[in-house]
Amino acid sequence: MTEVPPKILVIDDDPYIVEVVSMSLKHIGGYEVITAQNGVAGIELCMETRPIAVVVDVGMPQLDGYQVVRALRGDPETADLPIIMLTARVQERDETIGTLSGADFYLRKPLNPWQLVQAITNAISISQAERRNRTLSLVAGDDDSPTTPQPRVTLPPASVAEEEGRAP
Amino acid sequence: MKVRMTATPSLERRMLAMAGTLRRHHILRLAAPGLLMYTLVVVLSSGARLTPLTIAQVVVGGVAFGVALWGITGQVVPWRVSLAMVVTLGASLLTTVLFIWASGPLDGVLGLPTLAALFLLLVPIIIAGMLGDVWLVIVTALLAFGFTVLLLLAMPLTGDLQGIFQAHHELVVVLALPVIAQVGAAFMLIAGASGAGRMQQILVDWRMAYAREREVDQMREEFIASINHELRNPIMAVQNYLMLANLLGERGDAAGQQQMIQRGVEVADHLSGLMESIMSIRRLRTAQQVVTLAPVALHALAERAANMVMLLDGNGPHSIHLALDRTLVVMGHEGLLTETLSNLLTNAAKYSDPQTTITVAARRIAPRDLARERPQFDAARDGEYIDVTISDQGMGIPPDKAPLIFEPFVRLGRDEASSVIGSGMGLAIVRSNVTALHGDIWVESDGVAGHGSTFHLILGATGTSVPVPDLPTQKRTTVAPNDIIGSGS
Repeated sequence: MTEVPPKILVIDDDPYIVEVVSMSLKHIGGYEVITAQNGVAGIELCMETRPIAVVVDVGMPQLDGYQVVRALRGDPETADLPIIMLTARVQERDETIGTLSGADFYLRKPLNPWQLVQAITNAISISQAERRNRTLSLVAGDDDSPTTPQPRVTLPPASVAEEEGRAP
Repeated sequence: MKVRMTATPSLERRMLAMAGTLRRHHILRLAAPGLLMYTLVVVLSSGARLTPLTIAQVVVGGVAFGVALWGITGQVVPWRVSLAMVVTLGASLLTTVLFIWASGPLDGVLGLPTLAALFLLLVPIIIAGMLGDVWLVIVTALLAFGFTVLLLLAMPLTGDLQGIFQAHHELVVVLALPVIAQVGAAFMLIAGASGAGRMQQILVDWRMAYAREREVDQMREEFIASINHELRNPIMAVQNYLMLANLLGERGDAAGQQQMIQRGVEVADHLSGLMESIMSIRRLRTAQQVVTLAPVALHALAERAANMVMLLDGNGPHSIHLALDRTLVVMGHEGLLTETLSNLLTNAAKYSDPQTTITVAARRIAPRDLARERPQFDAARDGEYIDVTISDQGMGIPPDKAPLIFEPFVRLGRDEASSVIGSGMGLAIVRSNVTALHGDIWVESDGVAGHGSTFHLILGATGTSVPVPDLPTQKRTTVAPNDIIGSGS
């Protein structure tokens, strides 16, 4: 009996990003990838297919990445999903918003495919309790609380770092 | 790409302060001496005696001048300035009349008709001021002055001129000086108002130009951010495809490796097209397109452009309806016209829902009629023109953005947030082509989704001698169609 690969949902309106992220996750991580081109379709697909993690772009029309993350974190069914945000934005403020919105990791484009897979692995390893605790403190708006996490990992823009990325 | 920042907020503040200073300067230089002159003459004419009536006259005149200055220094509203002047002069004259009436010695010399005539003297000056014509004010003021002198000479008095003035020194002082003072003060005030008005108009024009330039700059900046976004993702895709190809090669998956390389090549091709489109800005800025105009059959050309657009319609299908007379022939250039129509049709298709209709129509129009619809068009042009319209049922263009969309690198905010791909160059290329064809282009739209937009493309009809401004007629090159087709929008 063949083992069914775990599914990852990729939400991005840019077909290039969807394709390269899918290829990277498939070939490097061995994941099955399902894709959605906008936030609304992404949330619906997430409810239907129950992926093990979600990769979502920040800049999308209608519902942006932050709103998607908040929607997923707000629903008890998906509140514990590992979520990775992708962005082309480089301002620190955006990064803070990304982390505060509830994503586990915030990756800047251009993406290094190995770093992406590494981030997913790390996000999956975050315990349910830790994520819930973190979400609760965020909802309470207590930014000074010691339980409020700093961005866990802020990966630098990828510079085709093959050597460091080969071992996910 | 470097963004040229035209004006900063601090510069704006400085400009506004400077304009304010100039305006105050105008008022002080022109209006204030008028007030001073008026006051002095009123006091002198009463023999430097401060009677209650003199004081009342100065106070009323001063208040009236104050009202006038308030009108000038407020936002320029010509009727308000004019009203202030009427109030000033009316009040001033009224006090003068009262003064004369109460002065006793003039009883029997001047009757009410004469006073009415004196009042009427000021009317043309007021009207001239309302028209804002300083020279007219000067001429009427001089006429009023002359008339006053004549009036004095025509007094039913005996003796020579010197005798009149000696005998009626009081008359001259009491009557002539206030009138002359008022004429002078009126001139000063009107000139001040006129200057301040012009200054204010310059300020308003400058503010509008600045706001427009700032808006274009902002849109350019947003577009550059968008270009960055559009380039970044394909570049990243190429990088990742190559990395994955390498990985798959190491794993011995030759088919997978080939697939990744193939995709990388495809994306690189797209990037190349994107760069081509961006670089077309240089063509607009550096190349002076000088084309030889020749008769072009409009229907056949529109048919070719429509077929091309429908073939590549990524947002379709749309139906393109050609409501054109087959006999219409325009003065144009086949290559430039094909590119222009293709860009306009591509735009219409991109911003309209599938299954909607795009209509291309055309009509003959005389320059005079054209100038009525398009004030910028020179009604004095010779010949006949063809108004080609391209109408769609798409999302439309907000009227306030309509003048901006022909600027290079400008995309509307809503497009930046949408999935409609564009370089912001299509309509800039269109305008450049239309300029080279000595035509005109504009858009009509109420900005309501579903109402669509109508682009008017004006071209010369055959037999029309289109003006060729500032271009040497002998030195012409022909733009080969291959150079321009396919730059996209």
